[in-house]
Amino acid sequence: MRPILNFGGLSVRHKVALILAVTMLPVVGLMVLYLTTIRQLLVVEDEVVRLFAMQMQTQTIEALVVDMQDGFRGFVLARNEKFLDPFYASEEGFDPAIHRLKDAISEDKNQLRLVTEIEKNVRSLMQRKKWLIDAVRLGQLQPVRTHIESGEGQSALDRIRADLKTLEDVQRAILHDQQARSNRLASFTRYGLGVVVVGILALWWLGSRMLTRTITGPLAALTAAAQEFDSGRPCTPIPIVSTDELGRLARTMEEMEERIARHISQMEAFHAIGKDVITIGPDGLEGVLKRIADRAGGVLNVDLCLVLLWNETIGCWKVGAASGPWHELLRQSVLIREETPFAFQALTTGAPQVVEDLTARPESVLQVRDRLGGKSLLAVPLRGQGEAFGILAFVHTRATRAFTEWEVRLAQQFADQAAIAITNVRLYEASQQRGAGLQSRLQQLERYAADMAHDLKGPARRMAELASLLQMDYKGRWDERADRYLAWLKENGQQLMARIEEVLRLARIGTIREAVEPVAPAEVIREVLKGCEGQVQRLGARVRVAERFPRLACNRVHLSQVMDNLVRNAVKYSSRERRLELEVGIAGTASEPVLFVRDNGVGIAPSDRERIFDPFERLGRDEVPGTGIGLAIVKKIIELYQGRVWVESEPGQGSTFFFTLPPYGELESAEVKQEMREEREA
Amino acid sequence: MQQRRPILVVEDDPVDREMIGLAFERAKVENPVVTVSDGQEALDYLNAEGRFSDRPALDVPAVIILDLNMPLMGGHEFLSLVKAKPDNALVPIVVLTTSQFDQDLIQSYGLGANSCITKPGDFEQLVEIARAIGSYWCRINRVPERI
Repeated sequence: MRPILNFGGLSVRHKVALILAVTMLPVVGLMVLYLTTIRQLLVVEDEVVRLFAMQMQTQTIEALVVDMQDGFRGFVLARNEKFLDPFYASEEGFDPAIHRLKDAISEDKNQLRLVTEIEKNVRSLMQRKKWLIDAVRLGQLQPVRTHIESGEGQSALDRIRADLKTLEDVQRAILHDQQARSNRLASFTRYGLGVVVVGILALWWLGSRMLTRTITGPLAALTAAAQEFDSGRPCTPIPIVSTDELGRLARTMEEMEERIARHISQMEAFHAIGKDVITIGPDGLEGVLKRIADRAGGVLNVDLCLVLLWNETIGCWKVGAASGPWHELLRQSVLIREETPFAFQALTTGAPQVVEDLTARPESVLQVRDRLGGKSLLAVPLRGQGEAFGILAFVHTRATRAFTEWEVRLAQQFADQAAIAITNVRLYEASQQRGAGLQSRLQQLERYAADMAHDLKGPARRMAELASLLQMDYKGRWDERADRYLAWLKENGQQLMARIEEVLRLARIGTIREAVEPVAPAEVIREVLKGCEGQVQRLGARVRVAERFPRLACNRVHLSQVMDNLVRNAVKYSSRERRLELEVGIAGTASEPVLFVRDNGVGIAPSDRERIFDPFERLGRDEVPGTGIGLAIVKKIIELYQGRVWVESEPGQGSTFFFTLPPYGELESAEVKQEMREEREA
Repeated sequence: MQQRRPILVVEDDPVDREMIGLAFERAKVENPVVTVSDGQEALDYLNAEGRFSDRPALDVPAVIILDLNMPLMGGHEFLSLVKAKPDNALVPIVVLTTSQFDQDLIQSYGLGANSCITKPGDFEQLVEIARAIGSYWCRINRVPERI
């Protein structure tokens, strides 16, 4: 945005006044001027009217004079009184006429003089004529004759006429002048109206422009800046350069935005430690402390941040971590309590301690000041489970600098979070150590058991082999009882071998990472059923296998072992009263397929349903061969894949064993489909 | 020629040694059976060293029957040492072990075992195995004459 026009630091109020003055005063002036012109035009018009009236009166007088002359002449010639009517009429009309003329002329001295002259002459002529008329009436014609012959009357009349003519000329000239003036004013008024309208529009435009530049523009800029800030974009300078209230508002807003942005970044960093700290790396507690020191130092923008842990046993501080390169210098070093009084105060009071100027402190030894060159210090306690176990120390080393209230609050909050993190790490490490101890002991035991089982297998086998050798070589040479015992010996040795083999098999599950692959259950089931085909045929069992199975993500051998154990179990525990019906099927959802093996065998009592998955738990029927470890193997394999295995059963009716294994390729096939669709579209 | 070559049985357990020997006898395998109790002795025999320094040069075994779990030198170590030496590598080795785990089979074959058999736990079956070994490895199977 362009910089806004500046009125040299005027306040907004003055600016508004100025704009109003700039726009309104000329408008008023123009209006006044215009009205004056109109008024003048009216005056001129009045004058013109008056002049017309004057002219008319002059002409009336002229007519009266003519009438008077004509009347006199007629009377003289015809000696008839009747001819004197116009004469008397004009005598009668003269006075008002001359008064009106005089009124009309009013102030024009030149004309007045002329009119006075005319009046005098007319009156004198009229006087003379009346005297002559009286003489004629008396029959004295001589005076009339003399009057006519001398041309006295004519010349007087001529003079009057000449005067009237001059008067008319003067009046005409004046009228002409006035008319010209009137025309000028009229056209001025016409054009003036246009000029006034244009001028007012121009001024309004100018006014609105100034208003925009000084007030509404900056307001819009402020609004835009506020919106921009609100939308989370980084703050940019607000384009207002004026120093008025709006300018000040803009500067304040900029500062505010900066402060808010700074606070936000501090808060972000603040929350980031949570994440940082939660991820306990191989560097353990020290790594966590180091990250706290670095983060905290960054948040408060200090030169050095220390994590000091209080060691109650020796009554000293131990530097847990320090920010930046200080860490290598200071880690694990010990600070004496007396030489770090502020830290100790923070620890004991549980409240933040601020020392703005360490150099001005009277204490003779201050570790932070003397050894680390600290100038300002803020110490906040690390509080965990009721009491402080250490502090976070924020140190300015380059210059003394005050800590604001906000910074102190932030530091304390930071410390509180760090304290929780430290407590967690300590707990975690402790539990890890305990766990690791248990784990290794457990593994040792497992190995020991496996080794022992393995070692037992040899003697058992040898026993069985020796028994069978004796059976071969000495059968019938002893009595029948000895033969029977030998047979038992061999049988028991072989059972022991088989059982040990199963134990080893169970122990083996999960110790070696078997490859997880896409497995089609239908194939595995087919192989398993083929493996016990003989038994199935002997029982005349009906076998039903679902047509479609989803592919599973597991080790093929594992699925095979699970299926084999479940199918063999179904065969083993089939009912003697009815023909075995065996069903292998699929239920559940696409994301969690559930496979099941259902039989109509002897079933399992509710109390036994959990027990059957434990090793060596066999249910009744001693004549059923087996080691009792099959379901334990099934459970261990399924749990290897975080799957579930359970049984639903009705004693005497049959059992259904359910288990889940992770489905294979759902995600992959979805991705492939998506890719194919995209390719097609492309 | 092969009929006269000995069968070298490497087995630490005296009962097993005797039973295996007896099984070959019952199976009527003509080849002499030489038994040693660990890998080191077996190596000594192959290399004609130690107490076998005076064995006839031609008595290279027709087949070695090898147990896996033995003290001093186990079966796998023995396998790797034997198969590392070109002369000895030609002697067929049949692993006869209690272990039924794929992992052991994979390792044995990986180290060059020619056959793997599980100890049966029944003498009759052991005789069957001895008979099969005698018939296959000592008569049918061919190895170069001069080893």
